[in-house]
Amino acid sequence: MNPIAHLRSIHPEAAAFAVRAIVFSVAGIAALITFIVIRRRVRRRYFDRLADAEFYVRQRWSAILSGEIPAAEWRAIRIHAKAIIELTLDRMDVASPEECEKLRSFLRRTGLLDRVVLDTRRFRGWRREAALVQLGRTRAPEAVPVLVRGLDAPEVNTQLAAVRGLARTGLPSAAEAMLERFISDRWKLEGTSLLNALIICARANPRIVLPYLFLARGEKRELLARVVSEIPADRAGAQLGDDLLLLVADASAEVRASAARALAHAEFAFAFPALATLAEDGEWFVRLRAITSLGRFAEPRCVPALLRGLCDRNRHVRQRAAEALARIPDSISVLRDVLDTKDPYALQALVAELDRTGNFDKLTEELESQAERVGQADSLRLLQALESGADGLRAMMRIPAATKPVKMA
Amino acid sequence: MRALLTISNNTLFYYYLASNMIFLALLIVALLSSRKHQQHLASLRLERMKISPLTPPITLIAPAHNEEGSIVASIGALLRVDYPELEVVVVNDGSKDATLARLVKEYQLEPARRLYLAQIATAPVRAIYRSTREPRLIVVDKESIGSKADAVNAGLNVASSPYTCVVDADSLIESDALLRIMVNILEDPKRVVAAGGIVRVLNGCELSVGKLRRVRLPRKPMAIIQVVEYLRAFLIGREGWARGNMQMIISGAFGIFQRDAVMRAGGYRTSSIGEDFDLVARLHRLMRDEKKSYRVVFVPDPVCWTEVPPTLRALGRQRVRWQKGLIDVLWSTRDMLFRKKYGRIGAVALPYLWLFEFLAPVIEMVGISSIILGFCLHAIHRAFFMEFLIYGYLFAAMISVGAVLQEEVTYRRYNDWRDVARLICFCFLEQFPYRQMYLVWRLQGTWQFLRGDMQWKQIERVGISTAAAQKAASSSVKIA
Repeated sequence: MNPIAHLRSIHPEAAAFAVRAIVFSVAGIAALITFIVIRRRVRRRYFDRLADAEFYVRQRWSAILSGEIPAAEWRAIRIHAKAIIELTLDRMDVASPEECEKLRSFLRRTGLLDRVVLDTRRFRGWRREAALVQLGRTRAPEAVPVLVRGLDAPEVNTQLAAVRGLARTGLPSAAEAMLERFISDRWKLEGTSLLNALIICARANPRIVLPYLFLARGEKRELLARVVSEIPADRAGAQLGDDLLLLVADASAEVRASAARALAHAEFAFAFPALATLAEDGEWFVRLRAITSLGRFAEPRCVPALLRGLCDRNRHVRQRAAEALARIPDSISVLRDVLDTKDPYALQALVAELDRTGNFDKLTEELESQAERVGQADSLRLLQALESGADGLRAMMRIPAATKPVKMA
Repeated sequence: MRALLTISNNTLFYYYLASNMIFLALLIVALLSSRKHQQHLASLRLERMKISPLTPPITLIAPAHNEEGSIVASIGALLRVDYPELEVVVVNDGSKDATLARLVKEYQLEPARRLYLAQIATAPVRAIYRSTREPRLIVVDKESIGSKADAVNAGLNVASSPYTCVVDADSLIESDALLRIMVNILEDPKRVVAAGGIVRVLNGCELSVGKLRRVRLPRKPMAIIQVVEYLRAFLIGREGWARGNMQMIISGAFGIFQRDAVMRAGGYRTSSIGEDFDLVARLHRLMRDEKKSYRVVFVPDPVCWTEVPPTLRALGRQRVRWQKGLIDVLWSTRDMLFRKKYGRIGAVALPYLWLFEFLAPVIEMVGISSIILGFCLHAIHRAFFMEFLIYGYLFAAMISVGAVLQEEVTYRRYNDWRDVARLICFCFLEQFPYRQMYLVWRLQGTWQFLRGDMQWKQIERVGISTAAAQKAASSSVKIA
């Protein structure tokens, strides 16, 4: 008797299941292997064709760009058009503004820009996302409305791709479109990509962020304050002026911290009083940002505030204050002030920072060589202080282990 | 007796069925998840991250114990990693050889007067060095208490970045791996507390000046089987579990953690055998205790290459240790089981680990014995016995081929046709007798744990950089 037939007579259900499972497994394995083989072949053919197309384009690049080879000759060949778009965009990434404009007009003239726009409309899913980013890379002002439509897509990934595309344009109109949606409750997109895009697009005119910032509440307000604070020097501070002072008194600690960060880019006379106030804030990270910003000015007038930071109860604040103090040119005077605080941790923080910046030995030599100018007794006192600070640091390393370890064989 | 055998066989049957169905579900989830990640990458350009002011600094922590032969090349490779703000902290964990002397000479180290706050208690630190040649490098020289976790904790105390990445000194991180692993973190920086990358097998690959020149499959069957295992574990297991935010392991060879979260969790546990697994479990516990919305993610494209044990003896030791590490963590997290507070970790992930990882060798051994006994006593029909074996064999092979497919449709590191063909062949060969040997090692690990034998036995390896050092700097070298 056939064993399967016999088994069916004893355990019909189990036998049927086992047979089905075996058939399923064999079919599954065969399908997986077939898929691997076919996929490899198809991909190989595709990449061979793409390599040929890229070679063709590179060989004739000047003629294509100048129009010597008319667009009609290659536009219909999809793979050639794809290679030309990619090559043009790659060149735009590293081109000067004039060259970039030439490449952009080439994209317009040959209809390639329209093709990318079309791709953003006819595709769905990841193809649309890739087309949106590609369109942003053209940095064409007419791309902005198309990208803005992507912001209104229901899929979060498409919205994210549109944000990335808008970031690539770097245009203030792109920032406004994003800000409008961000402030409304129907748009939930947040995160680093949006923050990054807003920073890039608002760079030319940071003032456009302010109306939205004052309207926003909660985490949205904090994010927009961060945008303002991250816009590079000679932009934010200079253009935002008195509006920054409104942020200094904000109820949100995150916003105050962002104001402190932004003030680092402002004029010292304007920023100093506000930063000195923020350096005494109740939140440690606001004090941290204020101390960091004060440190950027490396001005002797900041020293009292920095010394308070050096004695702060938070170690991050102390570390930033030490970094800032180590940048003040008159190191001897700074060391004397630090000793006057009578805070051993403050001294250790300064010694560590002087060593990290390579100024410890320099200061020691200076104290030894200029003992007469400084005063013999004072010089000796300062040298001893440096040494005791270094000893304190060494002592801190020798803290015993808390738990019993595993044994090594 | 027959009734007992029937119960035992039925239990094994349903156990196998459940295990296979879970793996099939994980395979499907992983395939969909990887596809989505790949598509997401199509609209992402990593070079933008390099110039963004929002890309946070990372500290790479490399503990080193008696690694004089490889340390210079390993640290050189870490310093070559492409990331805008990088700090490399090497912890010389009481090496008795010339590890520190090599570093001092190569990187012109000088003792630094640095503020060291032992937020996590460690063995005493002898000195901290800074390099006059490479400002991103810090070397911590500490006394050893025979624990890697203790060395990592010292590195954590010194680290100044908000994110830390612990790497083994004998592993090789791809140059863009940190940028890739940060993609998911940057998209959700508030919630992502840890991210794991994929660890791949370095054996068989060709290296040149500490860089991977060509990816090839190893020659030794034992190493090829481990390639299949790693693909299955990472591309199916981790990917699938991470989709449901239930990833319990981030490999000690390569993973990024929010430093503050690790500090709040108390750092690495020095008495733990599987310190990487233990840390992730404690992070889950911490976040759920603090009622925070968080994610532990897996990112499949940043790659760390590591050398796997090339011999049976070394592999056995490694697997025994893994089993002991597993039991150690499961025991320490037993209070999380089925408690509402711990959500899906307590309800799904940990019970899965208890049932299909810890108890698997015991259940399999009992089951196989009862099937053989049943077969001998004619309690099971011969045809059914054969069908059951064939089904078990084919299904497991199908999952392994699925892992190869996952590799093929996504990351395609093995370009050579012959490598792929060999990988598929080993998906079938892996099931016998390797799987049975693994069963024995796991039983051995369980037995040793129950006996209280927690010794960490050294595993011999060729060593990437040892091999590289033997060759001239310009020539390439192949890892055995």
